Amino acid sequence: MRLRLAVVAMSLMFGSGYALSIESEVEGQEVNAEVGSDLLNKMTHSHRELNYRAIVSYQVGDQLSSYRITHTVRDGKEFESLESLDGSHQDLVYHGHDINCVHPGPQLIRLLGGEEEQGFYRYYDIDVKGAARVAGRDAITLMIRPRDVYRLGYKLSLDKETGLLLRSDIVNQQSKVLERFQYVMLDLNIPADEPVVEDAKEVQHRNMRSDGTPVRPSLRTWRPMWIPAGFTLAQPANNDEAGMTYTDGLAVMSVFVEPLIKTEDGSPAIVEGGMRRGASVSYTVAFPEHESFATVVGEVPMLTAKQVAKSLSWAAP
Amino acid sequence: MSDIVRESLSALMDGETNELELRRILSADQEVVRREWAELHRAQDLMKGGEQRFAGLDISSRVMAEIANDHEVGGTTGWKQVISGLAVAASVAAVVVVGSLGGNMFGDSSPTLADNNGMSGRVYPAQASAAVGGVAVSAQAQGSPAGPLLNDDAEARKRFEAYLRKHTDRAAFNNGQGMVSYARVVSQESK
Repeated sequence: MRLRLAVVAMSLMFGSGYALSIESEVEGQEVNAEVGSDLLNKMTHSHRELNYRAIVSYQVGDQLSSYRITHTVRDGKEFESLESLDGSHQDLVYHGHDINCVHPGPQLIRLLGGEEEQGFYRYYDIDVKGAARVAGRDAITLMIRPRDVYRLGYKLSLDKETGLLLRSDIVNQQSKVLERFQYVMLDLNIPADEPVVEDAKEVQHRNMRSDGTPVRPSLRTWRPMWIPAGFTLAQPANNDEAGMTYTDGLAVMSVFVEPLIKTEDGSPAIVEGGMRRGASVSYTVAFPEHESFATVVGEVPMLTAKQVAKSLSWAAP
Repeated sequence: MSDIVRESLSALMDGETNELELRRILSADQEVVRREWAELHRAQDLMKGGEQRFAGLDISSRVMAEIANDHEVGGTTGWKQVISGLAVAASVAAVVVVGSLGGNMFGDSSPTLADNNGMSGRVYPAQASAAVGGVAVSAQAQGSPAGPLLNDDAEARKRFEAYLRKHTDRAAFNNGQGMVSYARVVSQESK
């Protein structure tokens, strides 16, 4: 059922006049929300549909690391790898993701198509900032500002031709850049049978069941009583009793609950508090009365992680 | 004190407030807010393992007295200006983001409205949250000094990394970035 929606959305997006509208709007000063949402739409699927190889740098604070990304599509299935180019070898591959497999995050951006004040567009202001050049390619930069305190801001440079995300700055509420991804090289002319990396660690596609088999009843007895408006579950409910993941289309956060770790004298060994690296934060809260501790992880403000973690509630046994 | 004010205080504490929240704080019940503010600071100091030298000292009463004096001279407007001035001067990192706030922030799209679209059907109203703020914050403040937050740094960081990886398994398909997202995990592990 979701498949069909995606096909409709895609055919709409590939409609004629798309490239034209970008040209005229951006160059003609007329800042149009549609341009931004069209580009965002494109971003959500182009990275899954194209064959490309790229070098990407990732910066947090004064640390810079670089990666080679290879992405190909064969027989409707994605093959993707990420190789670290500095430091120790950390290679990851991902095989055989069905290209039509639809995820809620992109859906939030896709289906609403920039309709003002609907869903995603109710929680962010999107401005087309203008032309940019990244990795030797013409790009368009979007400023995406959150309308409340529960999300981060984004400055995204998208490839004009393909919509690929070439540069992403995630900024906090004080406009400080928390982390930056930037393509430094992009090759869109690689064959679909380009071999991906050997000996890499396989990434699991854990959270979707596309075959429609009934999911087993959840063992999860907890749930957050509060999440910021605009976030929806990113995986089918009850799929994974160990964690719940929410997204608003750009930001994603996950809630994990585990049995409480205790010290020798039986007191909780978990200290409440947060951790932060780049745009990712975590906030941990112990719930001794439920013999559990909860951690919220995601690319959200610490405030959000904290409030979600503290709002956890258990159903009566 | 309402949960909203408490959340706003918490936001201010984290430097993640905006003008709307600042206003809420300023217009709230001063006495209670003041106490909560002190508690929050004490809790934070405890978490950071800071000293408690000034724990019992409430300079805000003196500040209030000063403000009261000023009030007699300057009237209500001056009074409020002094408070907001103080808030800033106290380097609370209260960056007031007037310009970047959408008009709707104050209108129909306030966080009270949950958006029950599609997939989950499980979106909770932002303010139907008795559990948020109150319980754990005060529990934290009352508890015995639990030691610095990063006492078991290595353990906490290991957990953070493990959670981040699990989170990224889910996030990569939803944030429009795909596998690039794993740089967040890998860059950390290869350090």
